[in-house]
Amino acid sequence: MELVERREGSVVVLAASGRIDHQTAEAFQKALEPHLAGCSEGGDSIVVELSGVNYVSSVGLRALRLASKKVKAQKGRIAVAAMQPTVAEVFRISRFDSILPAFETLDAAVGELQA
Amino acid sequence: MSRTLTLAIPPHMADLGRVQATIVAFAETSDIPMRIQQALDLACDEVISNIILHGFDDDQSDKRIACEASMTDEVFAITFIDNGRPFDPLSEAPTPDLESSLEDRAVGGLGVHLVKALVDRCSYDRSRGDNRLTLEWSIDATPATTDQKSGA
Repeated sequence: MELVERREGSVVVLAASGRIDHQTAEAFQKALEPHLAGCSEGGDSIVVELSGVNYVSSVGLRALRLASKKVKAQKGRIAVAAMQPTVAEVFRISRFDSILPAFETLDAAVGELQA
Repeated sequence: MSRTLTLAIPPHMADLGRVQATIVAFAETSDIPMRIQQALDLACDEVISNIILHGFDDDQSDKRIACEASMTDEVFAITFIDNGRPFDPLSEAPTPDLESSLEDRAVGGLGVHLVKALVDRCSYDRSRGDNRLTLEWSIDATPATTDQKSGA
């Protein structure tokens, strides 16, 4: 699992890759953590790009849930984008797509979250 | 054609990735459809980690986990066997709250929910001191959908 950061205006894009499973979820969560503090009302927004992620299990969803919970408490905005079909299926089954905004493409996510 | 795999699973999270890879490789070399391989991968992750993390009393010294996988032309089946505390994840795991807001969602039960949604059939029984959880996929079935399974 890797997480690479880049910035597009006020949107911080965190591009994840690999598997987010019991072996890697904790590292994923720790990698997300430093980026969350600046994601608040009037501050940056975060898009977690998942096009390079081919597998997410329940612990990966929990890591995203914790990140989203923290950002929402700060009145910031966070979304996921560009999920592979199998990952999107896990999101859909878990109904995560209804509580954590999910966009089909990175461009759509960045466009929506750009202040 | 019929093939089987019997595997002793070390009760340690550090070995989980290797165990998953072994089971999925068996499915791959058995040429089962990709949707089943992917569901199997996730199911192994969720089921085995639940057993390792929650299935045993801390002082149990003879922890034992195994799986038996088999495939025919019609069905791929895998049974996870452990000698931990009696526990039927299909009926006793907490029901994840999928409707409430993000902030209010209870933790737990999500892994079992995913497994149940991604298999075609599942069953549990307790016999001779072992939990036995069996997951099955019909190889030529129309892919199961969540809507059919959840009734949503």
